[in-house]
Amino acid sequence: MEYTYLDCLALFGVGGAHPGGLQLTKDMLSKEVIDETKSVLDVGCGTGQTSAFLAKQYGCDVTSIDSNTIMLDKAKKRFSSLQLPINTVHGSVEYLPFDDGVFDIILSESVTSFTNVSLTVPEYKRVLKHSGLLLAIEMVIDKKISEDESKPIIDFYGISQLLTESEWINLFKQAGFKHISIDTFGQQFDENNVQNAADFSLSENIDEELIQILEKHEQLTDTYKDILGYRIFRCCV
Amino acid sequence: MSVGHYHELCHKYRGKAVEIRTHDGKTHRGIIHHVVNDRVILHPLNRPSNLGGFSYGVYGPGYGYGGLGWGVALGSIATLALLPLFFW
Repeated sequence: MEYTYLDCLALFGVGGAHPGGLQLTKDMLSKEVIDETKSVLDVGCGTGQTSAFLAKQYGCDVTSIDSNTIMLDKAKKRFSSLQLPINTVHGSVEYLPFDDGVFDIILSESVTSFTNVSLTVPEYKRVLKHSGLLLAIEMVIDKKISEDESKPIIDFYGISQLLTESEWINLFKQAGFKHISIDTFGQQFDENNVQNAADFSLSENIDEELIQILEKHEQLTDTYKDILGYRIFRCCV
Repeated sequence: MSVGHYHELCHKYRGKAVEIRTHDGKTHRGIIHHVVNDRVILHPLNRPSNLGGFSYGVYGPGYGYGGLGWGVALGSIATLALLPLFFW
């Protein structure tokens, strides 16, 4: 079987698989007003690390959606072991299975980048309330690169596009988001901070090929470290 | 550092990816599965061909590949650090 990067994340069960990890998530959320009256959608919830934190820390109403059943099963296990009343949904973020205007906040932690953004971003806008907020940590290219340069990244990660900061902003604006601000995360990896390190919930059999994919990912990230970055987009409806 | 120290640290780092250097100069990269008696059991993150990494089937002193993963004797650990793995 040919595994993809996302299969690899699912089988290794990487929690906090986004730049900055759980530490960034906590910092980002601490700047928002979230309480038990708020309804939060965690798109591409993965193994549910952020959803669990949201429910535990803020007592808000959390819905978690992922298209990958391996990830979603690991998320469900996490929620039930922590006895958290989180609504888990199997589905695609390109076609969200929710009514219009039902969520106060949507979180996308390096998820939108892996989808067809022309479908996903308008979907976020649709399911958000009029006062809604989208928080998206997404991959950004820091300068325009040639097709030859971008092809290895696009092929390996199975993404359909690489966007610059201003292309992302335009996309959010076109979908109807009115106020967009951008944040970066200055904190370096601290090897003594467990919050910073991804957690793994491994599937039983880890094919050797998956380890090769991880290695290729590390190589690519290193090769493109001056080109590939990320931003935290804060988009208000 | 003492075996007790590494026992505690490995327990705290369960499910995390770490790099362990042993007193014989070898490096072991893997995800901590669990700690049993005087050993930490890792799920290896190196391919067998890697120099200085895990070599399956070769049982050196202090570590070896068991049924559940790669075991490293706590007493053989020189340094242990969380791996700064980055994911999109």
